[in-house]
Amino acid sequence: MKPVGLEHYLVVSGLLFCLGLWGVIVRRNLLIIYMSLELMLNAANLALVAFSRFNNKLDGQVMVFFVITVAAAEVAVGLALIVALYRKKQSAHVEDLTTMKS
Amino acid sequence: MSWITKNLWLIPILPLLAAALISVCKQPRRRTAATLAIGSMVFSFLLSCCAFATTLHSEHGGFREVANFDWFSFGTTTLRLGWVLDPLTACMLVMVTFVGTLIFIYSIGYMAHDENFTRFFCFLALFAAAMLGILIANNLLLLFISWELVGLASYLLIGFWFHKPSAAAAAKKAFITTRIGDIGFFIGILWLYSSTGTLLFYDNGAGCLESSALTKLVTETTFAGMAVSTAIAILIFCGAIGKSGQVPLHVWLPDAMEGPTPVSALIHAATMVAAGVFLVARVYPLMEVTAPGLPSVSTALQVVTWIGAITAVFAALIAVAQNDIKRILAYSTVSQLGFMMMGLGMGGVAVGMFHLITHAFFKSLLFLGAGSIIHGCHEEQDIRHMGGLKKYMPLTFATYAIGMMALSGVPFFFSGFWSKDEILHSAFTWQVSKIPFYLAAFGALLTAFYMTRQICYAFFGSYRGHKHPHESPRVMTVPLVLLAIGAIVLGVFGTPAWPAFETYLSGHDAEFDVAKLLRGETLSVMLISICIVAVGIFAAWQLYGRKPVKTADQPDPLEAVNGNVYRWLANRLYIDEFYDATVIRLNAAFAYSADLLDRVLWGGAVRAASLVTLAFAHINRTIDDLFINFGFDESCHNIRRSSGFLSKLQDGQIQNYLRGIGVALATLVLFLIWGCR
Amino acid sequence: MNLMILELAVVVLGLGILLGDLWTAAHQKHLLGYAAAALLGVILLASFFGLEQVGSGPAYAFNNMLVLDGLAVFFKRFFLIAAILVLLMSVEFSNRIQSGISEFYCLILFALTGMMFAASANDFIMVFVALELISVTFYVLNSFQRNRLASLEAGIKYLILSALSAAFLVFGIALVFGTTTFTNFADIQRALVANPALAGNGLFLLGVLMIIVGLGFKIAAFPFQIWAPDVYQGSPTPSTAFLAVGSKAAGIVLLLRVLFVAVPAVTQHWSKLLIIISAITILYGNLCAIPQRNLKRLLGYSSISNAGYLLLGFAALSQAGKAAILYYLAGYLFTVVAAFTVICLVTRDRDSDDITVLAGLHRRSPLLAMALTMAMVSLAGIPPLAGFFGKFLLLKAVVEQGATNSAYYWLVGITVFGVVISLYYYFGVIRAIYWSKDVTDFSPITVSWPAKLSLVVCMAAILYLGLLPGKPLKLSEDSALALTTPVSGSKQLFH
Repeated sequence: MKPVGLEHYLVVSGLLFCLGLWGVIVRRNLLIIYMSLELMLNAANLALVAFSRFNNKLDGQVMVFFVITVAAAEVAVGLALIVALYRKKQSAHVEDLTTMKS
Repeated sequence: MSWITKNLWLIPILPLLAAALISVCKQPRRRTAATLAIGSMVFSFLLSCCAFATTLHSEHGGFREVANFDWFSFGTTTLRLGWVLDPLTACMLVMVTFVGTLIFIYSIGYMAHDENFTRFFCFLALFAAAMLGILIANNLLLLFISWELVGLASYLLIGFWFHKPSAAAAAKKAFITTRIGDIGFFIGILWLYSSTGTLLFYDNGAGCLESSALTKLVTETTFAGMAVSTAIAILIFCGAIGKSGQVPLHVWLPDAMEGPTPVSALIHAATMVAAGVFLVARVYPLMEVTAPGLPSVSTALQVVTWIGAITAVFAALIAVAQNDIKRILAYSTVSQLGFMMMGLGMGGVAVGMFHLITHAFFKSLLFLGAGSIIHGCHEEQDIRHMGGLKKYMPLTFATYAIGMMALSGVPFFFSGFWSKDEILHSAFTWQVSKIPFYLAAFGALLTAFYMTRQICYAFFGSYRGHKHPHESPRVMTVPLVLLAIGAIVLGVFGTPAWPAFETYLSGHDAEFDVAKLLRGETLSVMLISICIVAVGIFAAWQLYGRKPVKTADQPDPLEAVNGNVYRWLANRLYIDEFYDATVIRLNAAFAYSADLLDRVLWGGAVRAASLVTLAFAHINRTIDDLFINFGFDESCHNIRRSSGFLSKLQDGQIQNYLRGIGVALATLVLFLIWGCR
Repeated sequence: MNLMILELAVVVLGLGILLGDLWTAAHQKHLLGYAAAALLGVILLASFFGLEQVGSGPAYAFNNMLVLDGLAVFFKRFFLIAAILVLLMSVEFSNRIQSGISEFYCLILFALTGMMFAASANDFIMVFVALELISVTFYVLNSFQRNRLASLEAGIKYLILSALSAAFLVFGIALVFGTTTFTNFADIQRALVANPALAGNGLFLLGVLMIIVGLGFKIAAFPFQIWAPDVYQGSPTPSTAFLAVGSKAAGIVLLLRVLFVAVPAVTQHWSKLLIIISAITILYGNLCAIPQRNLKRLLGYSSISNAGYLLLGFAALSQAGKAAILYYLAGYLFTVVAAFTVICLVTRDRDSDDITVLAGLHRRSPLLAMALTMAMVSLAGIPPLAGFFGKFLLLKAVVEQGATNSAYYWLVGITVFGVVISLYYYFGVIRAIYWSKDVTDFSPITVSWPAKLSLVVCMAAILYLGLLPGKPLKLSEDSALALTTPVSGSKQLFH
């Protein structure tokens, strides 16, 4: 059996990224869209770690720490916003966000 | 360098300062505003006179002094601005400041009852400043900046009575239409800069209008073998087409009559429309340059000539069928601008500029006269509702008649005769084609025709309005008198016997020689021109005034008018009734005795000719409305519709936004794959 | 440490405002904004004494992650000025924020910190952190009026689209890191020179593309402009202003560094892409703006078209183009801040941002009318104001490149067309000020003196940049020197 190489990680990472993007585009619930976004970030994290490992450099892993931290902050703010919206509108569906039009 | 060249910038700065000061003073300070604006114009006028006096001392080849300075540098290249004092600038400065001062004074009376009096003077002063900036500029970019400021100021002035929707629309139309021409102008500027590396006109041999740059431009060719100089000249001429209301961008000018009358006088007689003609005169070296070995008349000048000739006839035809007193003058202005362009194209700077200056005087006289009539008739602009005003406004009538005769080109005593005669003369001797001469002659005939018609309508017969008309106050009539004097006296400087203006522009001393008048060609053109005017006035008089031709050059007493015609005028002789009147009168005439037959036949011939003319006018008007206006409106409409459609895409649905981004991303990745191959 | 003294000062100031809030009476809290603006002014002044001593060449810190060169200094001062003006605007806005006005001020300061870090970023990790600092603070700033549905919606939309762009950015960074093994700009540039085949590597190019997408979101370039109108319309006016000026400029400085320092070889190759994006952005922004009746939405579209104008400077691929971008941004800063300040003041007592609120403004407050008119005229690119000169420089830079590729002439044509149609809606605003028919409200608008000062400063700057461009142009050219493309040619890498 062929050992697991860089390309395997990259394919998984690419698939995860596309899956996340697909979720963002087709789902209608804000929370699920947000989860899909996190999936995209994690796909990137996976790619970074794999590159780091196979290039023998630590920069990618450092970057991953930053990404995870920042993503946590983003989720904190984002969920707070979604909750505030839910309180106001009793809905977390994106179709309901149509106050502004030309 | 003389002190006046060094301080030439003061001339536009003074009105600009006045505009700035007026804009900060409170609404009710009328006296302050008017004093500031007029004071600054008077000072500018005095400075202009000094500048003019300086240019009179010409040595060899004409007077020209430039003052250039560094504005800023991009990396290694430095952009330089500057101003120039030469006869062309000086005579225009004197004309604009003199006519401008009179119009400012006149505005005190005309706008006396307007609540936005101070704002009006602020805009007027801004306009004057921008216009004077165009005149002194020695750099195409500086000229363009002033040019756009003139456009902005005219937008503000035409839309001054913005509560009228038509005025607001006219302002927008004027601004956008001229801006279309400016696109060509701007591209021309960019091209000139990239080809010559300078936008200074004169710079001790390194300017873009001096021989080294011109030689370079004329030898390079672009698509279809056209010289670069020709292409740039035509692009710059596009700007002139827009500002000077040449076909096909003339549509804004008649609509612009929605502005207050002093504005019409300022914009449509003396300054803004003249800016286009001035631009052509300023870049004349670029216009006329041809490669050695080619025909002596450059392509650019031929374009100028043909556009001018077509405009001259086209607008004159339309003017015949108008009833609004200011619209007639507006179309007449378009037509006269065509004459100026023709003069520039065929006869050179002096011929076109001489007509520009004389026209500025008599046309602002006519506009201000029209304003005085409108003011006196309580804001009535339709000539069908006037009539008999000679009795009520004698001073306005006298000055208006002088203006009319100058515009029609009545021989010998009026400046218009001499300036138009020069254009006809240069058309007569043009090598390329004789057609412009015939067009010019026809245009001159129509000019005499419609002006006589207008005079008959407005001043003869009996008054057909409702409120009692009155003569305008002194503050309005004094400028009229001064302008009327100008309209007569100016002709002296451009007679073939003593061509002072032409020699002044080229820097020689004029010699007085009556014999030149009697040379074969000059004489024959003069005779033709006199005949044309006579026929035009006689035909109009036959139709609208029915007076013998011999007294056409002096005002006629009201009682001398035939009773028949008197009744016509009382019945409001306008175009539709004219057709009825023709038929009725023909029937009646046949019933009368045989000695009337002769006259009826003659009248019928004249009427047939005028019917043809009117038909032409209507066809032209229709073309104007249907195609040119329609095309313009339609393209605006299309832009609006497509923009509405585009912004509908942005419907506030995040889901659609995200989909859009997905598609965009896919496209970019495709680009990447395709771009890498 | 010395290199980030300004950022540290701003952070300390932000924390100080948070602390100061505890000791301030509720009805005086809005005055903390003045204090913050004044102290930022002190920091701005200090930058003129502290930073010049850095020396002639650029200075680096944190393993070359941060750089302090002319460009960084230019943008730091730019962001400081923007933040001062926006803080003054926020004080005028304070009556529309129910609670937590001090937090609003300190979030502006934290966003400012992110922008200042972005100005210095020399490493993709730094790019990510700085951008996210900006984004996260803006999520809150945009939805600060929690009781207004529009504001919340704007916040959520910005959140989702910005998080999406962040995901692209991170994935792009991962790919670039994987193919070059570096995250530092200078290292990547060296790797590209050492190994020209890299510039043809699909994964690497995909990574660069994704990074450009991530930054394209920030500057609202087509096709990633899509969030701008909604977010501009819904957010509180000071947030919108800061988004339009600060966030966009941060995106621009990062794009400048990435395109011209990290991957110049790729940029050369992609000039066509830049031309197309720039042209479509200009057309889209200007066309869509025409039917708008909401002032802030209109300015949102105007901001898209301005992103297009700025991209002209990128497409030109020349020093003149880069300098023109900086010059245009400087003019844009004062113009946009002036416009939003006026909107903020006019809509103070009303719940609408519709264009009709401007009716009769010249009678209610001549100063506001004049400032807004000047801003619109400058945006429309009419001489002699800043907007005209900026556009002139950008177009000049593009025309100069015309000899290499005739597509540049098309770009000039499209830009001129865009500018002409933009007159329509900019003059629509002016018409609404002076020539509205049914004016009902003639009550004068009181303008506090700091707001007056800020407007006067903006107007003076617009005039100065339009009339006396010599000195500021020199400054932009000097600042753009930091972006000089290395001598080693890049075109021959491909063929």
